[in-house]
Amino acid sequence: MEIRVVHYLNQFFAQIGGEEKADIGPGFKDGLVGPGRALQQALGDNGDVIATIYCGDNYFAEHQEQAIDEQCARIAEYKPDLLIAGPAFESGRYGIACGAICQAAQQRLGIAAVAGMDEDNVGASLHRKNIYIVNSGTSIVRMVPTLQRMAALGLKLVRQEAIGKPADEGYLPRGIKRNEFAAKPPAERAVDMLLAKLRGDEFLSEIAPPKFAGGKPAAPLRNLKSAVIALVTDGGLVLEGNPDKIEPGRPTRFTTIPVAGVDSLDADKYDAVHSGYDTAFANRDPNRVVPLDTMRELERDGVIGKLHDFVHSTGGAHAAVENATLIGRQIAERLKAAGVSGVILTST
Amino acid sequence: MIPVAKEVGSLRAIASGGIVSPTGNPDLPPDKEKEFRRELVLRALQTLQEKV
Amino acid sequence: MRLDLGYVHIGDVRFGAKTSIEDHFLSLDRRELISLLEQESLFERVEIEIAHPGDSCRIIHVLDVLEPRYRLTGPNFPGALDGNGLVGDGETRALKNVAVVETDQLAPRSRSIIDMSGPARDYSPIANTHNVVLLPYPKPGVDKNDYRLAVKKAGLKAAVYLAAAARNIAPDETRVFELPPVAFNQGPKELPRVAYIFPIHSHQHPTQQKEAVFYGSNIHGFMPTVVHPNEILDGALMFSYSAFTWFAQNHPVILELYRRHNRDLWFAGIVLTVAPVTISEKERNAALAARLAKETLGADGIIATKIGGGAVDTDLMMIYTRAEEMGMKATLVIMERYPDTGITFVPENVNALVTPGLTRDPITLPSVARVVGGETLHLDNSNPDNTNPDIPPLPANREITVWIGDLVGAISQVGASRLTTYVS
Repeated sequence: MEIRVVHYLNQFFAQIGGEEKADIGPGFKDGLVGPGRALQQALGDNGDVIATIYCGDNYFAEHQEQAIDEQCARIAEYKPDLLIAGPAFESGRYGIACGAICQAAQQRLGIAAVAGMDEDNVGASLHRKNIYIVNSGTSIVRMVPTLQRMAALGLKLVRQEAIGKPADEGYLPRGIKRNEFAAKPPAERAVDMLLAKLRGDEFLSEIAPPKFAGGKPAAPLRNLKSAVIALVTDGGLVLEGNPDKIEPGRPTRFTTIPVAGVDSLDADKYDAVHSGYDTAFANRDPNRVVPLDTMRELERDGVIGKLHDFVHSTGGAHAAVENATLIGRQIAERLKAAGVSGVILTST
Repeated sequence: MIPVAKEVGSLRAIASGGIVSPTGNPDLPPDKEKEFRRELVLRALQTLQEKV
Repeated sequence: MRLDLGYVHIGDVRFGAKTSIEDHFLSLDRRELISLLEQESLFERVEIEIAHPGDSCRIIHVLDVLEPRYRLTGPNFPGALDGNGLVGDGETRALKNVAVVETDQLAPRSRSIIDMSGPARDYSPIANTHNVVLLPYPKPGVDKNDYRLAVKKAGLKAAVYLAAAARNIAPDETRVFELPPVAFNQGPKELPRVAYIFPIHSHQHPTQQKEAVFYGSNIHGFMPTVVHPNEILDGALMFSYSAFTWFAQNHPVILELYRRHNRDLWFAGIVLTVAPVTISEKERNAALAARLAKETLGADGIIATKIGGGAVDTDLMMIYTRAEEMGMKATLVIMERYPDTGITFVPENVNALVTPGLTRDPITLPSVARVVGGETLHLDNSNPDNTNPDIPPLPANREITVWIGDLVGAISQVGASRLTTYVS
């Protein structure tokens, strides 16, 4: 059965005009325009380019939310099976628009979507995790082969067929690891790799170093004697009974434990919930995970100005980086709003 | 887990009492363990005042 | 030291009047084995079931898996089962195509699964063996940890009991494992000397006082040491958690190094170590383990594997760094857990990693006719990532979506799997 395809283009490829027309708002035409011809050829009898929607690159950049809403409404009217956006090659504004529209169509309308752009396009770094982006490279010379890849991938998505590896299908790796069967078992590959290393031959490590976007370290604390210090932990400290249901592994949230007037963490009022370490010692004396008793003494002795009234806690076992980052950010926002200037984070 | 902390960009990190008791040491008698905890926390507060 | 491991190939296992092996057919006297295992005072009663490759059968709450082994001159699993003694020499009988599978009847949240048919079969050798499954039911009020140790001991008893049936039978296949003492273990100059650094436990989950891990010891305070690789293959080591003992008996790295010994490498030997809980102890163990590989085993290169949780990635990276500082080349085998980053971290200097697979990769298993080991799973079928303690129990015979890491034997941290990973 022929699938219905909508093609998104910018003002240039939609043949409205060049940079001088980059301010035009969203528009549409029935059928195909410009590169839509190559897209239709790539689809063959499998699909029909029923409409082309377009938007000026500047307009999109300056009115993103509005443009997306309008385009989604338009797309919905056409009831397509598939959205193809671009390819945008090196053009950053166009790439961002392609990525954003595909993502919105996928999430809001449940439509299969494929964008195309160069791997270094800023639109790729923003959207590659959420949608399939075919790598077009920088040169327009690659228009036809890119649209062929986009069409092929789009058809697979619509038909819910298994999507192959990035290198095979031509899309940018989305950063999601999967298993596949290997020709040789791991022990053999390890010995092969070691022997290659010993010979001085080239070899390829199988796990790429994960990249973390570290923050800038804060300036040193000025006046400890007047500072508000907060305690935070990833050791999974919770109130007895875990009322906030902090997960023992793969945490998605944190809990806030009130400690105003508490001088020491009693074993029967608190628990430690964490799958990555034996919590027996922590359960017997929770001060071993969150040093509340010590901090209260130091507050009394005037070493610090004040101990913040809340301990923020989550479990650190196998936290997904995104969740950990989000939890950290949320806790930091709360502490900042409460006037905390220093944090001791205890980690198991 | 200092190496992990440094790798993800957390530059102010000091060694804890170990994975199962970061601010404690169950092998010590209770009063010595409190001393250990106090020294550790003071060192942490010191680190907050240092430039990294 | 030389070990002759004689395999008797078994084609089928069924309950019968007497335990015996005839024509590759293992007949199992169910009542006799149950009586043997019910001697354990912590058990109320024991049941035994058999699951065959291809059966529409799901085994759940798996605690450990063993290959049936019987040392002709004893002792069997010294320190853990039999009294003191040493292993790794003489003649041992093994039953090929049979596994003893222990289930933990006090672990409702366990997700360790063996599917004897369907897509899971492609992943694990344990889905392709005739599995003798032990269901030891605890007496009310027993301590969970004591019970678990008793179950592991029951597994050893069963493994020995089954393989003993082969003691007077000529093996179908004998594998010889021989390495001379370190001082005489010299090979031709052109073959690189390769040692294996083997962390056997991570104390982030400390062993129980009476737990038998290495020659019966609870390995508290274990220091890096050199042992003969045959001892690992022949019953000196039982993993506490994080790996199935089957993969000590069939250790993939040790077997591979033996396989290529005197071909493209010279097997220099192995160093055992553990992952402690403080940074300074981790550093000490890593340095000493690397030193033993270099100065005692004379290795040119080392392979190291991992055992335990994310914390142990640190130990492994330290071993790598120390080894290379000492002038050896290093390669690590390290299991990936996270679809986004794979492992916890990789320092810049580490450039040689092999992955036996990613645990958190979903797989959908079809419904089955029979479940052994329990009735329900603690699983959110719409999201295997959900570890909320409040998930309602799910009937285990349904179609389920679990992690590939939940399949027993699919990805072993010591380097056994049929997998590698890619970024999609």
